[in-house]
Amino acid sequence: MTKTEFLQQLYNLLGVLPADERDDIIADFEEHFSVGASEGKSEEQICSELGDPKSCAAQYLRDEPKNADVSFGAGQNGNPRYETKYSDVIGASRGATNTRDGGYYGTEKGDPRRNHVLWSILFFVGVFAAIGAYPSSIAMMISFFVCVIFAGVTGAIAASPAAFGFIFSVGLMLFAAGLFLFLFMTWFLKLSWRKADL
Amino acid sequence: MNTQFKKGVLELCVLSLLKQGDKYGYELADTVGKQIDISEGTIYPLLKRLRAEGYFEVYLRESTSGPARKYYRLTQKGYDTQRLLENEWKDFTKSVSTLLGGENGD
Repeated sequence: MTKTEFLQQLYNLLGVLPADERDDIIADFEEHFSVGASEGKSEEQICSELGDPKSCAAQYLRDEPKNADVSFGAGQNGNPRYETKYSDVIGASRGATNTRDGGYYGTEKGDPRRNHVLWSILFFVGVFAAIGAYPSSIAMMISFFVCVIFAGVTGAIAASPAAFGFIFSVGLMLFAAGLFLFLFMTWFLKLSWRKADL
Repeated sequence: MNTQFKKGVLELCVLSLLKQGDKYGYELADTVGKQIDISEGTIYPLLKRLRAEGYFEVYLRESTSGPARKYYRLTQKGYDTQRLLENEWKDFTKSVSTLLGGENGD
């Protein structure tokens, strides 16, 4: 990772903080890179020593007064708290790939709160669509068999095999389309139900 | 090394290093990082928090080899807390050592 990549990631992750606080934090890290460079360290080495920007950002956000657990404030007699909330650090470092955590990355694309609303809407649209789609798909599948049976019963198969062959193919396509529609609706409803977290 | 041990003791380490004299961020991160296997980046949020809680003051000092550096200095509260934590640490490690010694049936 380069210095720019590290600082950019950190900057993005600290989006919820006031601008001057965030700039101050970035300045600290720029100073760190600058001193490291003057000692002959490469940017990559410094980045690997600093660790994951997500962990750093998580700790800054955890320490924010409005996010801090009130019960973990300065303890009796002004002793500093030196127990830490490990769950926050662990949760945040998984947060980038697991949108269900949500807490720290509220302003990023893929904000879980926004996504829940979107998927809820899609789910309800799906339900309405299903009201039309399911009967249609079943009708399509049934019609295929109806055609075949009808043709068989009325002797049309014997009379005109070519025409029957044609109708059979059309019917088969209808069946496939109906089946596809049925499966698609089911998949869509399941997906939107899960994503909407209803 | 157990992560929980590391996290619990970093404050004591940082306060103790500053008791030896004012230091800038990189110095603290580097010195602690040489002894304890941590992500050095997590030192800075710790410094920020401890400063907000009144254990340090900060000031800028010009440097010959680059831009001005931010130095940390212990406040009286910082000194007092360092002494307190150091004593607690000594008591704690003594207790644990006793327990470990007892297990070996000495």
